[in-house]
This record gives sequence, C-alpha cells and structure tokens, in this order.
Amino acid sequence: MPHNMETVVHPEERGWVLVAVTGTMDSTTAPRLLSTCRELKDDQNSVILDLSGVDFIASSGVGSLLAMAEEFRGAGVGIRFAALSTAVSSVIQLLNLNRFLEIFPTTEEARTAEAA
Amino acid sequence: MSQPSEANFPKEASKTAILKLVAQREHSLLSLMELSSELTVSLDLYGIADLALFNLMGQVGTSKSIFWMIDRAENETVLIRAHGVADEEVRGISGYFKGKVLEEFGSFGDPYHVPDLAELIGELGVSKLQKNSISVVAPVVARGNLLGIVTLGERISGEPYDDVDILSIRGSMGMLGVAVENARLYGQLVEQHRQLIQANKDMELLDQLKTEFLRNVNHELRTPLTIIIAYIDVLFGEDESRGGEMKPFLETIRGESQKLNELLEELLEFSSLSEDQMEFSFEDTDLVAFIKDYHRERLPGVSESIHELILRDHPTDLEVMCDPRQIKNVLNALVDNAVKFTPLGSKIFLSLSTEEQEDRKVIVFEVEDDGPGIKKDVLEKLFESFQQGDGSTIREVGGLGVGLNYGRKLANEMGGDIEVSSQVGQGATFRLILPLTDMENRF
Repeated sequence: MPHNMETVVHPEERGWVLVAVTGTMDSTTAPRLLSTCRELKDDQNSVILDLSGVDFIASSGVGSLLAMAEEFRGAGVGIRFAALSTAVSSVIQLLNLNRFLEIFPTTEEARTAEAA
Repeated sequence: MSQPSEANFPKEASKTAILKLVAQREHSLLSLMELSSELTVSLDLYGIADLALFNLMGQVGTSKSIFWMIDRAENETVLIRAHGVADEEVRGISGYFKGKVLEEFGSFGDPYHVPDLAELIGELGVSKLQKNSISVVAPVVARGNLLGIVTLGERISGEPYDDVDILSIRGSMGMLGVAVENARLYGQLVEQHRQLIQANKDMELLDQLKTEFLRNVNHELRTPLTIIIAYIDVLFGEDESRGGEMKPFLETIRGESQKLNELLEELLEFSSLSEDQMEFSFEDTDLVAFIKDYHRERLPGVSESIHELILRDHPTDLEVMCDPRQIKNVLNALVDNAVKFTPLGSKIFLSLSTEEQEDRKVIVFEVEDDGPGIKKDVLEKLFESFQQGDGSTIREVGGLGVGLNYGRKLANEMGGDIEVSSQVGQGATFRLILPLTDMENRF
C-alpha cells in the first residue's frame, strides 16, 4: 500500500483552521499531520480535521488522532473531526471513540457548532 | 493468565455483538501485523517509541500511554515518551518503578492489570496509577532483560482489558523489545565507529601540537646556540694569540655545542616529517542537506545513550562555500559535550540559521540542551582552561578542554567563533558562528 498522505491547511475562517487530509494515515504519514497540527496548536489555532479523503487509517493513525485530541484538550485549544470517510468512521465506531472525539458530519457543521 | 477460550465470547450475545467482537479481534490482529512491519523501519529509540505507542493506543483505543527505558546503572526509569499524562504525574508514577521493584518486575514477561501490582508497588502506587486512568503496565523485555516499561490508559470505550487484549499487548511488547535492543546495538556500533574516527583525529591534533612545540623549541634553542658556537670560534682565535692555554676547554665547549646543534637538526627534521597543518577544503555546500544528513548520522548513537537529538530549525535553502568536514568536526565536539554533560532522557536541539552581525552576514549552527546548565564560574573558564594550561580547571570541568578548544580553534581558522550561553537549571546553548561572505575569499 502506498504511504501517501497530503495535508492542505486552509486559512482561518470564523476562528477555525481547516486541515484537509487525503490518502493513507499510518506510522509513516501520521507524524507529519501531528507536526502540522502541533504547530497550529502552539499558535493557539483551533483546528478542524477534514478526514473525508482518508482512504486507509492504520492503528498508529488512530493513535495519533487520539494523542492529538488529548494534546489540544490539555492546551485548551479546540480540535474537531469532520466528514469522516468510511475507513475512518468504521474504526472509530469499532473502538467506541465517538464519545471522546468531537465528530461532525460536515466541516461546515464543525465550524458553526457551539463549543462542547 | 488464561489462554483465550470460549469463555471470552458472550454466551447469550446477539449476532451483532458477536460480529463486533470478531471485528475487534481482527483489528487487534491487524494492529500487531502493522506494528511488526513498522518497527523494521526505525532504528532510533524515540522513533520506535512513537511507532509503538501510537500503534498500541490505536489498537486498544486509549489516549494515554507512557514509555520508559530502564537506566541499569541507577536502577530506575528514564522517560522516553508520554501521551495524555501531565509531566509531574509521570514523574510521580516513575518513582514507584525503581530499585527492587524493577528487579522483580522484570522476572515475568506478562503485562499487569494495575490492581494486581499492589504487592509490588503498594496501594499508594496503585492509587497513583488509577488516579491517572492507567489500566495496564507492561514490561518490555528482550533476551531475558527488562529494557523498559509501557503503561496504557483506560479504554475510551470503558471496556476492560480482557485476556486476549493482554495477550495482544504482550505480543506487541515482545516486538518492541526486539526493536529497542536492535536499535541500541546499532547505535552502539555507529557511536563506537564515530568515536574511533574522532580518537584518530584527536591523535592527529596532538601530533600537530607536538610538532608546533618542537618547531618553537627548536627555533628558540638554535638561535642562542648559533651565537655560542660563533663566539667560541672568536675565543679560539683570541686564545691562540695568547699561547693557547684555554684550547682544551674551548674544544670541549665547541664539541658539546656541536653535538647539541646536531641534535636540534634531527629534531627539526623530525618535526618537518610529521608536519600536518590544519587543512581546509572549501566547496559549494548545501547546508540544509548537510544539517539533515548530520542529524540522521548522529541520531542512532545519541539515542543509544538515551538522549533525544532533534533537528529544530533550518532555512528552506542555503548554499555556501565552506568546509563541511571541519564544520562537522566542530558540531561533533558540541554534541558530544551535550551528551556527556546532560542527564539521561535530556533533549539536544540542532538548528541552522543566518543572521546579520555588525554589517556582515553569518551562518549560525546552534546546539542547545535542556540539561542542568553551566555554572557562571565554569562558563567563564570554559575556553580559557586549555589556553592557560591550568590542569586543575580542566579536571574541574571534567575534561571539556581539548574537544571544545579544538572546536573553537577550527572555528577561528574559518573566520568564526563559538559562543556559549547558559543559566543553571535552564540548559546550555553553544553557537558556532561562521562568516558567510568572507569565507569564499579567506583561503
């Protein structure tokens, strides 16, 4: 399986920076996403991760999402997960992670929803 | 610990529940397979830690994990990575895993449910772990030796870790143990090889210093000796005109002076043979690629000593005329000192930048650590000790003299310098500063 992942950071809108992720999330590609999100967190940017383009997520990818959520929470900065692809949502549901991650069906809903 | 059996499957469960359980087991199995292939890639301790912890967290569905290595010398733990647990809490937890606890803990390879650790770490220790939502503590073992400890938090789903989960975690720990052991052995090999090369260079430096010394001594002795021999010839003439009474004495003096002169000639020849000036070879160098390669080259050795080497900042591109070999020699001196004088688990940061200083542009390589820092009185003598030849000072700073002094000498020869700043408790920063515009015309 090719280890390709692209992330595109969109400019801030209504207080949220949108990071669109496409490709594979595994041990090779997930650290890059983590690094990008950490930089945004350190600059106190709230982040929406658009995961609609993720066609495969390995356990290490899931682990990095959980670590990310924990870090943002600890820093008091918001992070939301939107438009999960089937590959991502099936693992999230299998491990019952919906209660821990703030998940929204679309990026627009993630952007406009009230704080949890 | 029981083997997986029908008892692990709910008897009255619906088809949906059974399918979900099967899917979860399949997920665990896939996670193990992913981990086994992922661990073949990284040869750096911290990279391995990231791989393993993220895999485990995604495998069981937890946001909390910690990985410690064991410091055999002190018989205590050294933190490598922690997720979801505050630093002070991690320090508090690690206090329960040292000394005799580690000796007993490493006897078995099985992960523990936290309550089962009461006998080993006491109720207070169990309570501390549970307060931080830690559910499982697993030893990382290789070849019968306890290498480290991994803790995993409660599952976000709220489900407990059952026997199959513990088996799966044990399998992951086995793979992690082998990967860590391999990384350490590889790191040791790389570091020993590098130290051999460095020792060779140190010998060349000492040889060069000896040569300079011999040349200086030679010159200082030959000049007066030449004068003495010349005046002896004058005295011979004077003595002859007065009857030659002093002739035997003058012949003795001339004979001994000539012997001394011959000895000095031999010394001069010897020092010429072993002459080896500091050589520089300037070439077009992509410094961004250089610093990335340097970081990659030093990573296994530094990680093996349980220090984390992080390449922090660098420009997008920077191509200059310089001597990358000598720059590497200076960086080695700085990184070696950071490894030597900071405790295990410390971080060492590398960065590359350019600055404007007094109307000239300079390149700056920075080596910063988060160690205990350098006392003010030691800081002031850091580069003076070798120059003054003050043996007591060198011993006091623990042998910093030769490596740093050689590094500074190289920096000076390249038209630059090394600066150091530090405060006790706040680490130390060494900056190698080299002129950007002058270097091309310097040699």
